[in-house]
Amino acid sequence: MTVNTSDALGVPDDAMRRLAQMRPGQASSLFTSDLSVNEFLLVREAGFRPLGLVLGSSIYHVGIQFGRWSKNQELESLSQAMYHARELAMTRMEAEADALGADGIVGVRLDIEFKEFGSDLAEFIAIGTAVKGDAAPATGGTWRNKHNQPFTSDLSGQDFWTLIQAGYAPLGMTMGTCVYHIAHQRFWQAMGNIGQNVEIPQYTEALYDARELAMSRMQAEAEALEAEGIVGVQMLSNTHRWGGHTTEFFAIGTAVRPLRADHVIAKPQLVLPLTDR
Amino acid sequence: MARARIARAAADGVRTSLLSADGLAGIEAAGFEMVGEVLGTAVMQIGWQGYGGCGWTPGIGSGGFYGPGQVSRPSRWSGYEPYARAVRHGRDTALSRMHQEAAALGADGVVGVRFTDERMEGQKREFMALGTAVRSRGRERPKVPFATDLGGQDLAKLLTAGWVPAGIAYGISIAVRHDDWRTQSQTGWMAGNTEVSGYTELLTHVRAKARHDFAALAAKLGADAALLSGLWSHVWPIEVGENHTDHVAECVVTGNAIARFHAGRKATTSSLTILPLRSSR
Repeated sequence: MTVNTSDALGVPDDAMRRLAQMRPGQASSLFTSDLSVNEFLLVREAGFRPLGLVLGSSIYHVGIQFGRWSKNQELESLSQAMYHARELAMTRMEAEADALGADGIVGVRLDIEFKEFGSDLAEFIAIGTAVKGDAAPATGGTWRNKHNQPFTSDLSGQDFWTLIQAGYAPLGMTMGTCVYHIAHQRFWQAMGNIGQNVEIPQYTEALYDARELAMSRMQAEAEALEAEGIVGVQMLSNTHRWGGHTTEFFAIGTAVRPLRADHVIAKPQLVLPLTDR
Repeated sequence: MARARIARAAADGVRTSLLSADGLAGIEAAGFEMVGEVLGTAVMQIGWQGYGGCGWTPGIGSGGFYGPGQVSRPSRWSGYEPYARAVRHGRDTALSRMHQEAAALGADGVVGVRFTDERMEGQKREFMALGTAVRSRGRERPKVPFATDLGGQDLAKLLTAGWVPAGIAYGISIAVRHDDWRTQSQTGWMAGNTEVSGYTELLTHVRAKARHDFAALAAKLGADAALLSGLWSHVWPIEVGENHTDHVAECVVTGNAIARFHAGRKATTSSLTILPLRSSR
């Protein structure tokens, strides 16, 4: 963003006049947003108007699952819980955006917080800013996705601006999860490996399997949205409160569709910052 | 004492500031000059929180003893209102004292406001607002100085884009929900995968209330938008009687009300794509 400071020494007379004329209590179409100043201005520049902060939440009791702990396996019941609770939070956020008549939700954050009270209780929360396009996409159609739902995107305002500049539009956040149990080593196997540098194949296989499952599920969601690809993918692994052998592998990204055939952005100008960071 | 400090600052021209060098460059680019550091503080005693049980009595109310507990009866949610009112009052007092200092220095606004809310011994809480007062180089003056928790850089970007900070907005909400047989059956170890609908409703309620208060305060200022700088929520159990716990949820929303002063619908900024020549390490 360029800030032009040359005009009239940047004297903020217009701004101060606006404050002087402010009429408290006057009804206005106020919107709220949790975007930073940079993100807010860039989302405006990309041609979108924020409509309001939208939020969805679910406090979920995650069940327990018994299995054969000597075997590598997915814990389907836990995977199911992680899917279902996130789905509840996301759907509620989308419903709020839909009620505002939004075209999409930007800057979505999807968090899980395990609660101190009660075991196996976690809050799943989705927060973002609902936006509406100033105009329909240049290529026609709407900004909403093929289910006529607002698009969702976990990209920052900066990435969102760049994506639109490059001729892409977000379709929706796609995710895949897999909660996996890695087999406990058999006693003699563990004893045999003491003091040696060796690969432990069952660990390698387990991590491979679990990540593959999570990523292929994310891919399936993108295919269902008829996306061209997924950007900004993060591959997270989190043991939450399940201890060392049970881990959630979670893949999340934003599925995008092309708005035009070429995807050229202005050639970046090189700058040499005079700061350390 | 504060008055003496302000009078001295106004007279001797020695400027103190909490801004970083970048922040200072920011306010100068926006057409302001720094006036000095301003402070407002208030210590509140918050004793009575207004909580007189969850309002639930066996066999009374539409839920009945074995029925699902109601979650939206207004009287139940409003149990903690005196507490919320005391916190709001503490913050408002600190903020208005800071405003008075700024006005005494002839400032047009206060940037980079930091709020602290510290629990002292006993039931006392100190609320403090600390910021840097700035003055426009132009001729126009607002009726009351604006305040924002944004720094100088953000102020410059907002003003260039045609937005001016109008004030700091704040929303707080706190509520309690009775744990009934349904919550208990949803959280027991036999429950399996299930949403705990009572807690979800409790949190949704306090968040909605805090967000609503926040937006209402920004609207009352006459602003066009409010950018959140924090949304914090917390749930904790309270022991209300023998073998029974209820749950309390609190939510605090803070942010900046901003007002638009450029006429067009289109954004007035234009971004350049740049590639910083930093080393990648």
